[in-house]
Amino acid sequence: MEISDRKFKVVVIGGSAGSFSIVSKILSQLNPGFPVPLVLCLHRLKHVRSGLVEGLNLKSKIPVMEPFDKEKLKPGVAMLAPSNYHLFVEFDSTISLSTEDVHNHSRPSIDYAYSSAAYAFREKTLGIILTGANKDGAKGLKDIGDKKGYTIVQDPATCDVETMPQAALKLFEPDEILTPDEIVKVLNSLVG
Amino acid sequence: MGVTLGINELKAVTSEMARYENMDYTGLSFSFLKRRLAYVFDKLKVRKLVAFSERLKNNDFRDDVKYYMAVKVTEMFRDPGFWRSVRHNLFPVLGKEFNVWFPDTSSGEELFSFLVLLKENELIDSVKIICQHPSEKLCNEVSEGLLEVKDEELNHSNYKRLEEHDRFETYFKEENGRLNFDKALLKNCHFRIGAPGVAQDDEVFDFIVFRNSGINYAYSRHEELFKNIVEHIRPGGFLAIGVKETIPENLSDFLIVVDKKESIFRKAGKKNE
Repeated sequence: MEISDRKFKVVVIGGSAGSFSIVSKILSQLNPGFPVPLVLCLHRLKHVRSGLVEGLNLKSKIPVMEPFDKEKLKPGVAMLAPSNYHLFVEFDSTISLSTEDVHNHSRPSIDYAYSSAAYAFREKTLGIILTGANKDGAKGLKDIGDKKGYTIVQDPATCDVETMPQAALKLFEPDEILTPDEIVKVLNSLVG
Repeated sequence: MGVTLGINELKAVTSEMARYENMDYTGLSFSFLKRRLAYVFDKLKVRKLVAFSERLKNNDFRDDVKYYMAVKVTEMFRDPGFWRSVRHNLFPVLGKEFNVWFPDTSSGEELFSFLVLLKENELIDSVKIICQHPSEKLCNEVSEGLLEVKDEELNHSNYKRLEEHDRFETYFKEENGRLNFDKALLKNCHFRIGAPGVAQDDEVFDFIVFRNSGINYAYSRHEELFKNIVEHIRPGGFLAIGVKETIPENLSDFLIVVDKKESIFRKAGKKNE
């Protein structure tokens, strides 16, 4: 089955060092009417609560917001994991937040966001891992793959810091290894 | 290999736990329960559900379970803007004498932050505080003023974001790998063992601090819990919840937003109504 024929219930994008510009580029090139809820789990400073969502909204073609606990996922809306909270995707298409211990030195943890989406939506999950400086996200992305979801790793040659994609590639074989421009094309293929 | 719990097993385990005092975890969300029980089982080396049920008969084991079920507050002065808002928006209204309830004192960080704020605003002698948690061990630990050393740097940097001066180190002593909070500041704190968010019938408080606990509950219990908490706010009193939490919709009519960004609310009315 072509990826454009798959009916995803959520797209989860994870990234760390260097990922802001890539995410910003992706959001700025999405086609209007992007039909799937998008979750962004990016490593960020714990004590800086504002600025990131505003920065992403500057160029984004879809609204970017920080969800409150128990808020529903919305098609065509990007939800950014708030600073100092883990974000989980639930069976009922809501977001839950948590202040549990850091995972891989991170809160939000990308592993947690991916794994929860995989558990909730199985093959209807699309996970994308971007540039980053630690291994958080690798195991969670593998969980998406294990549940027959679709997995994309940013081509390490295009990363500011390739540790995170390389950690994923060491763990499993993703469906695709793509440049940021190619990632945009895949996402836009989900429209219509 | 740890124990992996499916929905039916989670239901069975929480029903079993709920037979014991202050161990009703049936209202927690399944995803939180799944993670937290896995954590508890790992900490207490539980390998089989049958063994867990058997060990629950032991009082000390049950207290350990309650201890590890608690999600510790991540750091002192988490969200410095929140503490600034308490100082600027609440203290002038609350006056010199008021009472405070921490309905789920899952660790010392939130309480000690509040006590430092009281001390620095010359309110430490006149404000009464009730701290509540189901675990006796946890209550004892907090009442002894114990904190993990590993978070000292973060606690200190949050304090510096809040205060213009730096007296942080005057509140702690390091001993045997742990930080000891100045116990003199705990003199007006009363610790009691009880389920989170459950107060005595006639109790009312001027300020209730219930931050980031409600997020662990499923919808129905979340509503029930907040309904109960709001009933125990004195008219004109305040409620603080986590900055990314929301008040259940059916209660929003009873509360006025004081600081939207920092999630501080006020119950309508005046103190003696």
